[in-house]
Amino acid sequence: VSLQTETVDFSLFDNVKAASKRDVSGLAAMLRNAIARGGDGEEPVDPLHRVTLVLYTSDSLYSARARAMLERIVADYDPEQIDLSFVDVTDPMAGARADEDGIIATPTLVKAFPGPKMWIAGTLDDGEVVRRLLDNAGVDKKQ
Amino acid sequence: MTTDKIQKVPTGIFGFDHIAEGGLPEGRSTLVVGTAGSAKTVFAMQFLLEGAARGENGVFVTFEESPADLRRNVLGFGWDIMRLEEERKLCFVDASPRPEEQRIESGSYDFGALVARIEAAVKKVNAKRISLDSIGAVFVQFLDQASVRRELYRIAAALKRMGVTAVITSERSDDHGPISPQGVEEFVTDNVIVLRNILEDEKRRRTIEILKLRGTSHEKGEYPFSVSHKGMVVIPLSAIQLKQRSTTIRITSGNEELDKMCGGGFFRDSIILVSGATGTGKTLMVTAFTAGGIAKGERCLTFCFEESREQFFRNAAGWGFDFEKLERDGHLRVVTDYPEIMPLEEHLLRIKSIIEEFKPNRIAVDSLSALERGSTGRSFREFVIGLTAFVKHQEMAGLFTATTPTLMGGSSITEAHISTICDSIILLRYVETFGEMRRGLTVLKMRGSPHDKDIREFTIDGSGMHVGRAFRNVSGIISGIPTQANIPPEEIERLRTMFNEE
Repeated sequence: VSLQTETVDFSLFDNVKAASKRDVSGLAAMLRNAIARGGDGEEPVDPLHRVTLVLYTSDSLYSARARAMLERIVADYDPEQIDLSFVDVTDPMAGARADEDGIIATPTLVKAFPGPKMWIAGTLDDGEVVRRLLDNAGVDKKQ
Repeated sequence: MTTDKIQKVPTGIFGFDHIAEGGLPEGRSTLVVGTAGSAKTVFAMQFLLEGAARGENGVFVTFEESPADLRRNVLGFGWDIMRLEEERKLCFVDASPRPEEQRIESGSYDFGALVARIEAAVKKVNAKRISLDSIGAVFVQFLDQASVRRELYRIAAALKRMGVTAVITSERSDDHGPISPQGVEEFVTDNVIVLRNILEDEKRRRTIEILKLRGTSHEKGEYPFSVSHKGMVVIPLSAIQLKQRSTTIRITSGNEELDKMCGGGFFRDSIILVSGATGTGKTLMVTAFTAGGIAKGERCLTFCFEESREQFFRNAAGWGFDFEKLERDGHLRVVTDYPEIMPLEEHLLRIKSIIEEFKPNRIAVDSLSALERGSTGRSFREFVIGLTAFVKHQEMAGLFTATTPTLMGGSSITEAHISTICDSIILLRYVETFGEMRRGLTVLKMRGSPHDKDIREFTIDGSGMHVGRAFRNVSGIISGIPTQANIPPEEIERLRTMFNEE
């Protein structure tokens, strides 16, 4: 055991110490976002956007319900800060996005940014889940 | 009842299409169930590869492993999935879990996205075949089990609508329990195949069973299979028809006297079993059989499971045969293996592939008993049936040896399994006469030919084997208890001089 401790790379500790001096939560957020971005993660194009949401829908009643619910919730927040898009999986042109996100169920709301990526499958009956998500991302309520 | 007969599509799994009498029902879904590691994914993938090779493209829907893992895992079989994807002969629908993502459920949902993605993929490559592997994993990804069941039913219906032939795999926890824990079979009721990976006498044994192929006939029962370097290979055993033509062409046993005893030699496509205790001359018979064939311009293949190459060559050299040179010249191939290095199913596949590659006229296996040592009774029986059927099918002669457990007579278990399958049986026995150990040889059975029924003296010297005169007034040789009864003095004199040939 003692042999192993001798070979530990101390520069690793230095980095952590330096970072912790600055801001631990900042580092955690940085890491989270880096992981979420992976290679082709969706970082908002618009710097004002604090959250990127994609709702995958089909032509079902469930999808319509989820969309109505989401629009109602989002209406309470600053639209400038939310990057919201809808993808109809039955549209062959949009199918590639569903493949990329590995979507199985519809409706599914995907929070692509900030990381970690999150799926919410279903009609979003529990609106609190979405509200909490927006609050955590730092989206401001409408004045 | 109905006139439009169900067509079958070949899976490309060697042996399976035989027991399925053509393959899987076209345009239907087939459920393939098995425990973890029972080769479900291999089945699902091989089915698509065969399709791609036939111009019937495929879609692989994966619920468990990522496409990247799948591509990598099947590289070992020489399957280049990436190339097929580039050629648009195969494409993945990735429905595998992504552990780094957080998942929440809120309210009701359906699998509209998955259905749409599958439909798009089928359209994209113009797929005729599809594999879903493994459907049980979807139940883990979602909380609402009732919805998942309902939605899988919808997918099955969509597959039917698209007219694709589908393989749907499902994992189960027990090799002999219910078909699947989630009752998946309820919505894919037409066709069910069970893969098993059973631990039997400390050995893994893989089997495949067609439980049902609705509306079509198929072979019943479990068939052993192996996952070899080329993928899945089913050993159809009893499904092998006894349709081998028989020939009246005779070939030499490598010994002129023995040929005479057999009525002119062995038949060209016959199986000969040589049974005897250790040291009675079985390996010599193999050597003579091999050398005799080569002398007549035949190609010979010899498997030695008891001796090393060097030993076998040295013995042959002792009898005046230069096997090393014959092998160099391409007349002979000697394969030596430890019986224990692989399961019997794999031995069989290996023997078959060497036969197919070398294309011999005759093959010898020394000895079957060595192979029997490390196997279960059942798998050995299947091995022997599989091997003999294959050898006969190739219209080759096969000489197999079996070692009897006791020095004096007796029979081996090997014999019990193989005797009815063999065309000829030659027994080698020790004979004790007047304080001397001698060897006796008899042709016990020679299918389709008259043969010498005497028990003859069999001697071995520097020039090989010699079959001499018959033992007279000695009974019980074969049973291992030779007795001389009522022997007149002149007979004793005759016996005494009997072996002083010339």
